[in-house]
Amino acid sequence: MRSAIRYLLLLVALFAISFALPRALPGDPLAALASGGGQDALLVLTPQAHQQLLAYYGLDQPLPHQALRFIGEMIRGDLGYSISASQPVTRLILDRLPWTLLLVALSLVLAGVFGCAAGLLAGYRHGRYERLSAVLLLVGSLPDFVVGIGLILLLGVLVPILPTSGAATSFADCGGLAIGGCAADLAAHAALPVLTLALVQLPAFFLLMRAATLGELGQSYITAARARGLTERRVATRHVGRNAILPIITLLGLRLGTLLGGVVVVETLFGYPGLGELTYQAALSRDFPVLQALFLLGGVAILALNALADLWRRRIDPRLRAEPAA
Amino acid sequence: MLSAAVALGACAPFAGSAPASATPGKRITLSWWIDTGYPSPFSFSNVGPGGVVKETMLFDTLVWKDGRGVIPWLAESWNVQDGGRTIVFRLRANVRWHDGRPFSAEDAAFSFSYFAKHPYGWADLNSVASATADDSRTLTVKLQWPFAPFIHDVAGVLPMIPTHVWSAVSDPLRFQGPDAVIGTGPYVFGSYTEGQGAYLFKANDGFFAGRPAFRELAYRLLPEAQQPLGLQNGVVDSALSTAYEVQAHFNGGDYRVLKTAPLSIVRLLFNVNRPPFDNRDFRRAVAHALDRAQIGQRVIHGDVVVGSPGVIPPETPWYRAVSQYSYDPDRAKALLSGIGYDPATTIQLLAEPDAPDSQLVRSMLGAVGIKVQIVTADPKTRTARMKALDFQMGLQKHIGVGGDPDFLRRWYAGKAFNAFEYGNVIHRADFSALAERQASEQDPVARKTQVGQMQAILADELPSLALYHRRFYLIYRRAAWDRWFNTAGGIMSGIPLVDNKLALVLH
Repeated sequence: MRSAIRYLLLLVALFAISFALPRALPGDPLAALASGGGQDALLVLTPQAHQQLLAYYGLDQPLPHQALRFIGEMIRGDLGYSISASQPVTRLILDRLPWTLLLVALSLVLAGVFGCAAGLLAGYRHGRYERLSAVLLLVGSLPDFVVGIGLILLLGVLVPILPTSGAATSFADCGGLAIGGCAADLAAHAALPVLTLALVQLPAFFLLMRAATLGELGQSYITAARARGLTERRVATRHVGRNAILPIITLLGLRLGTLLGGVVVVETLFGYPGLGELTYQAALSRDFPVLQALFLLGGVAILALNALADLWRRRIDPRLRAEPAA
Repeated sequence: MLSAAVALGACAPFAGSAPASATPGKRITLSWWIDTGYPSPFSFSNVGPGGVVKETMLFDTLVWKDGRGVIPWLAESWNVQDGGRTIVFRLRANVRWHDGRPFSAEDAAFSFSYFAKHPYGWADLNSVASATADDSRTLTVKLQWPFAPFIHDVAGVLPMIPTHVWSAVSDPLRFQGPDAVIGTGPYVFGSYTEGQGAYLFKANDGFFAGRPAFRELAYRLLPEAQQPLGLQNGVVDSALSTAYEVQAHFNGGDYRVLKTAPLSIVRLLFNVNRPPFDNRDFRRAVAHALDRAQIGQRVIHGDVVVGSPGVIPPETPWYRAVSQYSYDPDRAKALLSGIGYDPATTIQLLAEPDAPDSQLVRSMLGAVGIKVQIVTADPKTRTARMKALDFQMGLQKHIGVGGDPDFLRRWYAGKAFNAFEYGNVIHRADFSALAERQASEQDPVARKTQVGQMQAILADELPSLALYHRRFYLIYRRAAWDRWFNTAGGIMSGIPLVDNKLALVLH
């Protein structure tokens, strides 16, 4: 119950931040249209037209009124209308969501599986994989865009085997995620963004898993397991791995926020039509309806996934099950 | 009665257009760096000119521009009467909408009235009092006042839309679908994929002004930095760049480069309402302290066109040579000394992050004793601050200096609709009078003189200082299409791009 109240309060705070943050940015969406900082000096937005558009989007109303309108629209399942893209925000988000989910899911799986496996191995064979640790530390310290540019140079220019932009070959009936015969094309387009995100995420999983493995190896229950004659593989997977994975689950929840930030950069770099690229364009054009919806939904997603991670940890850690819910 | 009539020579090719004998190609793929939205006249994105240029492939205007200037288009001729207050357009016969219905003067009159109610961001209809169809091919537009830029900035920009579609639409911003993209243009809407910025237009076989040069015209979204790579890898047939090195790398072999006129401007904006920029001698000292040629060379590395203090770029028809404020640090120091400038003062320069221009400006001004602190912000923040006059000196890069020179009135005589006046309004009666006179002057020679005088006053007052002008480079695969050309003064009201629809039509 206390947990539910905590999540409810977080939701209210999230709504307030989502509504206020775009409006706290200097400039309004129409000023952004009329003088986009460079290329739009040819636009003529007369004062009458400006007022007309303000009224159309409800931006001439006081802030509390705008907030109430936002709440009302949300209750009706309508997230408003994009000022810069001239599309319903709900449609924009639903169009873009699958692409981002594809990148996030694949990169998390890749980073999680390979990071954890390598971390377990490095922990188990302590001292034998120091170079790998150093390389991964180096990769982990690089910003997403540096890794992305490096991959573009390597696999897009020097050995041009992968497309460097977009999510599918245009006009080749590969416009959506109805995969069919276009799976290879979709996979090829997703490869570089997924690799970039995975490479940046992987070191965190590796290092944490290695540290957790080292910690678990010193525990007396491991000695007892070995004394019972269990094979090393069984000790590693059923005992060390299972216990070392607990902080990884916590990390998954925590990394999601970072990953969503990385998605903005990576999707923009690769011209990938996901929510990250949408966020970037909406921020540039001060598109309040899109920004507030993305902030709110992004926050809700992170909260929900953290709650899921809590539940999952509870499920696999009997010590947590014994504690009363916070 | 002042009367100007222009007639369309039936067989006269347009300047820069492709010959009718050429064989249409299958598909050409062009690139743009953002998704510009659904290409109806009310839905496309106004962030940059990419959206409006795509829209012109589907929709037509009464007049258009080729490599030499304004040409008849949907209107085959026009008469300017009543001292410039009335324009009578004679429309072409046998023009049809994409759905096969005939285009008429009623549609043209409807377009004017519809856009008056539902604003179009690229044309100002404030000057229009009425637009009426006298018969199916005669359109009479009455203006509230004689407006010299009308043909160039309104008739050449406002898209004609079909009455039978739009008369039933009360909310054009949300009206999308096949009917919303019915125009008379050389290409017909095929598909648009939101987010991927992928557009496919198909040839309009019934186009009134020639045969489309390609059966399909495609646009692909490519981030700006990836456009040359996309061209190299065969993803697109042309790429747009502002980088001198990139075009130098490509020029030759399978590729060609078309340079636009220097229609993009990099200028320092002075807030003349705040000290020390309220002092003209201080502004002149700044101008003398800056080696503008060197700034341009060090930033864009080639093809530098030094900015004119009269704002209108060299190489364009309305340019007049004015005082140039040569690089003269001693003169700058003398001017500063003359006004008793306190060298302990620090001036703030509002600029984009990592702009080398601003570093060079700081260094050169520092050399004459003007301390500069660079304040960086993203474009929208800079715009908001400039609009609120919350700045001393700002650095801006933008287009919009190639078309009709009436922009000088809007920016510097306080008539700007957007934020582009930026505290630059000149409070001089002679400038205001010239600005109003040229806006209604029907005699092009007299108007050119007046615009020249305005440039001289701007150079004298220096509310802003053009550092240098930039070109855009279209890099294209020669085998794909070799008929690109530069539109006189830029497409429509001055867009310095080269994808003029005339280049994609065979005459």
